[in-house]
Amino acid sequence: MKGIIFNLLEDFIVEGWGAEKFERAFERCPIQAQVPYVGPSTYPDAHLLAIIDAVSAELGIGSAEAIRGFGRFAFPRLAEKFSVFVREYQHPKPFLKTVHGIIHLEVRKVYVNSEPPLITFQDPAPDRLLMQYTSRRNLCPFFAGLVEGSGDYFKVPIALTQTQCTLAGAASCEFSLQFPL
Amino acid sequence: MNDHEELRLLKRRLERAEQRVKILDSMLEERTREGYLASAQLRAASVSLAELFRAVPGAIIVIGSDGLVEAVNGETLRLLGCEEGDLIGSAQQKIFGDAWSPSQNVNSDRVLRVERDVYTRGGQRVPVLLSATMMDTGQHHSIVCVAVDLTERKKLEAELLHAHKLESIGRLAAGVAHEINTPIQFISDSVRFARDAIGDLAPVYLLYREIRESPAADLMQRLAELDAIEAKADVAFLFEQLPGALGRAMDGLQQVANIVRATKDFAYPTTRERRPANINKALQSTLTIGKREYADIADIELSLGDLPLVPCHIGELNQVFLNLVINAAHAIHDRRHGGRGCIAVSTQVVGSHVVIAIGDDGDGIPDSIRASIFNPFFTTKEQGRGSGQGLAIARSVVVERHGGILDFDTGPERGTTFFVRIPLSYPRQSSAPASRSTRPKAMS
Repeated sequence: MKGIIFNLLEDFIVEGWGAEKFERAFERCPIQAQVPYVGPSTYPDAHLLAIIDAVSAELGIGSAEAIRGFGRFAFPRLAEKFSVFVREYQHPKPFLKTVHGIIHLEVRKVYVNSEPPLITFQDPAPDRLLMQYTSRRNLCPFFAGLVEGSGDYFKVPIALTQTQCTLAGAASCEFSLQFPL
Repeated sequence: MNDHEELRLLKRRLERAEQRVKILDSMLEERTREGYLASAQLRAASVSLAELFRAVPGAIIVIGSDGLVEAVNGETLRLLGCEEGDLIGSAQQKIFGDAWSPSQNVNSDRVLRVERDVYTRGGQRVPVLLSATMMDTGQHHSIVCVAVDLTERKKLEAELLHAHKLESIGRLAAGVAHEINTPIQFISDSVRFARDAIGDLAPVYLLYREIRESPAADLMQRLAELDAIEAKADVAFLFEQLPGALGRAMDGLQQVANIVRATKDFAYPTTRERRPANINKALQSTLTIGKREYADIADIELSLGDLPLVPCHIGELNQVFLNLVINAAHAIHDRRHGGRGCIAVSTQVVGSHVVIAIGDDGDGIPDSIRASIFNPFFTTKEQGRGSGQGLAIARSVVVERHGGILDFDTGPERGTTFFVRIPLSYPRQSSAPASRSTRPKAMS
């Protein structure tokens, strides 16, 4: 996982609950995860999961809820940082359809060993989108949060329903997105 | 939280922030160094590429996604007799003509390799071997074409073909001489008989003239003399035999004329353009002059269908037919069970092609060499019996010169049959570019 995600996670906690909460949560992490994270570097996924577990314990919320909230928080900041990918869109739907074919393609070009998730979609109706998330990291709550964050960014509410999940034995996580007409 | 605890946490954050700065500083330094090295490598690669672009002995033409020429190298300018400003920014048709373009035919990163023509500034056609592929830099799509001038190779191929033809004619000369010698023998015998007969008839005729000029004197005695001379000359026999002898001489002369015509047909000069030709007649001519190659080994089973005139280079196809007939004869000669064989030659129209089949009843082509038989200089024959060029030239003539197909069916029980498939019509040569407008643009 890239360091920028760790930095955003820290920002998420500090902005929401204060620096003290983050530091206390950070101290709960295994010692190997207590390193200074910098954006361009790559770190083990286990570090992120360890920090999230520590944060959720510190804040007294579930891990999935914490991750989803983090995804929602992270999207507008990522969009600002990598505005080239979002600036030509006015609505989350056409943007979300480019995630795998354009954004992840570019990510793979820049970071050769990166493993972005596989995101596929079906477009059954103008106000709907079905999306599938497949990743060995099983971070579907993070994906859900990012989708919700895209709604916040474009100021278009998205009614998001997860219809199946790999954690419940499905082959992929599936989401149904409903946009206002 | 007390002040001490708050201070501890702040100190911890500060330490981590300092460590981050150090790491980022180190990364920045590393990236700067890498960037410098990459930049230097890029400059070196760019110089190498520019040098390669300039020095490569092939015409390099880069065509943009809009179909306009983006870049050309010096070899392109030399080949087409153009200035850079004539080509940069102009439509690809200016180089490749109106009937074919790289943009329409290159659609993946697979390298397209094809023989095409390009056009000089004066509209003159130049045959080239064109390799073209899509180049995707991430931001920009273009097609890179490398064209190698085939003019010299075409000339050499024509010379090789001609040399092979001369070699065949030389090889066939002995057979042709033999074929001509047989009728010459009996023409000679017949003419000699006619000459002797005229010699024998001369005294009869002379005495007859004497009797006609002085009929009164000793007529009965002179007539008796005439009878005696007639009997001696066996005039009745001569009159009975002479027409036959002269007829045989005429037949012989006809045979000689046929052989000479067949030789002339076989040696039909190579032309640049295809011309309508009678394939059946060509096959018969080839079988006539090649008779000595197979006559002692095999009978010919000929089955010629009704064929239209076919646009072709008939002199070159004659060469193909002869090569296949000779191969058939060799296959029969080499077969395990020996004996006299059969070479089946047939023609027919199948769909849009004329199919000429030349088959033998030999042992077939072994699996192990089937893939190699069309390779130049591949031969299983002993030295002096085959150079290994026959089938290679046959394929070049059929496939490259006629856009046809040369394939075969073979098996140990059924021998080998080669199928020459020549299109009844052929696509028009790509036309010279109609428009030669340019839109000059500086080469970046």
